[in-house]
Amino acid sequence: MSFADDLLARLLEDVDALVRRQAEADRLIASSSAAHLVQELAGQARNRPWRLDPIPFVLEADEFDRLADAVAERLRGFEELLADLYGPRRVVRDGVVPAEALASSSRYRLGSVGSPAPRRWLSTYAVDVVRLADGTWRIVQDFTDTPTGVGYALLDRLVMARVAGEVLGDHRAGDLASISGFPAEIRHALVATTDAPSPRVVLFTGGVDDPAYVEHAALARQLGFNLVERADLVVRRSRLWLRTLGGLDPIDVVYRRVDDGALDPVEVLARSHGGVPGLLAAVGEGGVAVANAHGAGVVEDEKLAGYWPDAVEALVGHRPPLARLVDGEELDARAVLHDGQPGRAATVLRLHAVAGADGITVMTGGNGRVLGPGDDDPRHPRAHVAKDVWVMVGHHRTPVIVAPHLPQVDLAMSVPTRAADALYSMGRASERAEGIARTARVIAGRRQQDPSLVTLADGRWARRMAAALRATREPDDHEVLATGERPAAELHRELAAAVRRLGEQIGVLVAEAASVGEFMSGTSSRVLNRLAKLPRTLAAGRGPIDVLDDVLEQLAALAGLWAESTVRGPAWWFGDLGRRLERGRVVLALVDACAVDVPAGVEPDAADSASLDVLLASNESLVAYRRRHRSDVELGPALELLLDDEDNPRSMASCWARIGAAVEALGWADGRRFVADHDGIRPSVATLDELAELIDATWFATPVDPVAMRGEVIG
Amino acid sequence: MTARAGRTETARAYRVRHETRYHYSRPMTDGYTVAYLLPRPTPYQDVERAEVAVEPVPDERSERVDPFGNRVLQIGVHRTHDELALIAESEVVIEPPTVTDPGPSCLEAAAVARHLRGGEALTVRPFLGESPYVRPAALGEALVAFRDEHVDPTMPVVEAARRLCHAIYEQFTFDAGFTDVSTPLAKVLAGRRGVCQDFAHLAAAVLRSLGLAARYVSGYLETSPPPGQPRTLGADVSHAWCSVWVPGLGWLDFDPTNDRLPVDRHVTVAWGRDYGDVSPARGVVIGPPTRQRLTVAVDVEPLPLVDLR
Repeated sequence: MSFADDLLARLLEDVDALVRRQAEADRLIASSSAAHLVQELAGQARNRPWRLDPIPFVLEADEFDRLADAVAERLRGFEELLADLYGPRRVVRDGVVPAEALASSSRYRLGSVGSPAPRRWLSTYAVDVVRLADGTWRIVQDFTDTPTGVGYALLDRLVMARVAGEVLGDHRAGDLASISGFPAEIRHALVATTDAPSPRVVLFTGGVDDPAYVEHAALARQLGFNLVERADLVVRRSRLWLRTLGGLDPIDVVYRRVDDGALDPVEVLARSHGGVPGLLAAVGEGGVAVANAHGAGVVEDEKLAGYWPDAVEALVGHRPPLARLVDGEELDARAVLHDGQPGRAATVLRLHAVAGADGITVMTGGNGRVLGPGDDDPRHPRAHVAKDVWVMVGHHRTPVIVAPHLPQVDLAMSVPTRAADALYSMGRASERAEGIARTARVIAGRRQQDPSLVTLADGRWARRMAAALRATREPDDHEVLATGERPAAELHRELAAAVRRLGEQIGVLVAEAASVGEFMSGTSSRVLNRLAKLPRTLAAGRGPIDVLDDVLEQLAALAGLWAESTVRGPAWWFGDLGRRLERGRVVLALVDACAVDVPAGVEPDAADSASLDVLLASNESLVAYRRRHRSDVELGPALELLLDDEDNPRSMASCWARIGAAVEALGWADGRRFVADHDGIRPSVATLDELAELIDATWFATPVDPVAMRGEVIG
Repeated sequence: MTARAGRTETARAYRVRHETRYHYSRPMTDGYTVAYLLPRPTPYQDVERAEVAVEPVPDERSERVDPFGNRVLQIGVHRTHDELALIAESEVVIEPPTVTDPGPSCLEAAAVARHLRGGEALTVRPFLGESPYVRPAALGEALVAFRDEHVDPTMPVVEAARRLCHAIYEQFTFDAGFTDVSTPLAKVLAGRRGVCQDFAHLAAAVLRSLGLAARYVSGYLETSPPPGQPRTLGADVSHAWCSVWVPGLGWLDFDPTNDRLPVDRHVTVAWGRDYGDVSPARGVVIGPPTRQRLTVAVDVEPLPLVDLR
């Protein structure tokens, strides 16, 4: 019995343990990133979390070595093929690849023909393979454009590593080949695409809407690269630049995870207007390297794939190893856990390789994807069940982990402007959400405790509370419409509206946060994950007070992580600026709504007193008030505590001081002047809005979206 | 006005001015443009002078040659600008070929074309297949019916091209209001109307469906004013026609819009598989939301020739 069979037999002895591990894996994967939740929030479930089969796909060393050699050989062959197809085109001249078929391919980039050849066409490569029932391996498809999966393999392993020791036993746990050194190999390969010393590399993603965004974010974090989107990049003087808070930063290498058809809207074959205008011209001038090179995707064209074996043979002397899978071949089915029961299914393995200065490295692992019932096309498994791939290295090969050589670049000001914008918006959204949630929570709680409040003083309290909810919900809408409703009904309606708006604000918050995950601590994504699920609970209408408490708890956790676990660079200060600005607006709006018509200098009546009570509690200042004054709430001291007391972190004065600290830390001259001009005057909502406009105009107003120029109609 | 040297009595010389102006309702911060405005030399055309002036003066400007041998201008403007002007001026001498040999049959020509090797595999065979604007298979029965009505594969290639050229001229109405740059050929075929780029695409589609190599040629046409009237400056237009590859003869240009085979008053700028490969100017701008206006003025002026025979 082979080791793999033996291991499977042992795993299947305890199905309960497998089920338990799968549940744990579900939890870990769900909390690994908030990106897929954004898409769920938006109702597009393209990126639904995958499940991990708790039974790994095990490869013994000799079988893996044979596969790895084949993968490396295919990569070598395709590298030569691409160099020829975009260079001398020998295989086209000789009729091995028909010129007409090549020219008609939507994946062949005519514009790259004759351009200066890149140092490498393929820096990364992946291939899907399957094992047949007789043990031979077949190719399903090659990936040469933007090979995907390394990040998922690492995430899968992170989860499975927890069970490795448990099932392998101490004596063999060390034989499981590590894959944690692979990102360093990717980094080496990318650096090898340029002559620049200490090259600056970015990972170019399509953004949170990209189905593989989870992987892009995870990889960028591991590689230590900036995760950039189209709007972050601009071409000037035949070079590529990153728009940062500190100005334009040059970029040497683009690790692209964007299809080559969407790289540059000026390129003739690019249908979309995404991409970075001028990027390919800059590549042609040698100002920046793109990996994989533009045009590498032609290898993936199914219509041309049939010509490749002969073409590669013509170029390197032998055909690429491993034959393609043919319809009707019987796949090898192995144990899987299906709905909590052991079953059997075939698995498609994605293997990864990188080509760097020192040759080709194949990852000692990969992503397995289980073919579910009815999955007749192994290119598109529908089951969404992943399987970790374990390579048992035995004692004959020790995995070498190469220490990463990070370019020594100070990233302090290298914050993409878009990321700063997102952090600023996220800060504002989280304070908005908190303002709505706390106000709604306090008012709902008071009403529950004392239902007679709503009819008190002809509904004066209830009307003020409805206005307070409206003010936190619609801070930009100062118009109050007389509805003719009874105060109790109005309050009831406003509470429901506040809860709805809270759900939307959480959506905004999670969406902004998902695009800047790399600036937040790892724990933040777990918090965001919980938070992202709450709007649905809110919508379900379950006891709003409990859910509001949950929301407040998660928002507090997020604020705590932001304050305690995030390095205070420019990005942090932008986030903080957003928070303080919005908190100030919430305080002012609530004072306006709750304290309106409350007479000063006299003891408030029951309705006024209850209003001031809510005002303080909504701003988390009630306890401070009571400890300080030990009396019923009065207007003057309450306003003093909320507006002018710098020691109260919830006060307008404290927010203003933090805003001053932020503009100081950012070294922003106009901001400093603005703060100085308004010093000593209690800021109004108008002042804060003016500052917000100044922030937008100074930092975030540069248009970045390309628009196509019209074409002349010929005739 | 400088006199130009021609080689035969059919030689003609022209000065072409092609002015393309983009106007934006609000200023743009960046603009990236690729232009096919510099005429290329051909076996029947000498380019004496060709230049493109750009306003405002671009921050980046480079020229390259594309895989088909066309001259491509790339420019980048990275300052605030509400107008971009590309003013191309050139002087060329053309000597239209005379066609006496009808060439082999379409069937034979197709067999030769698809077996070409070496350099001709690179210059001819890419024009055999589908391209984004010319997809014969997608046109289905409508294209086959039109083709079979006028040509059959046993005809000599030149004869087939002449009939096709004439059929498009006779049966299709020139209608500038009917199409824009992205009108599908199916609509042109069904409506029996279009503009010259559509007719060039249609001719290419018919020829490619016969297995022949056909390319799209972009350039200009000399237009004569009505008798007794002076020429109106800027009243000419950019033009497009089709070219078919004939074994033994090479590329033969014909103009279905004007029923000319071979072309004789045509200045060639560039060729490609279709409009998309060689549109005069394309690109993107970055800036606030804007309305853009495009104005084009073309002037093809005949120049006197010195007879050097």
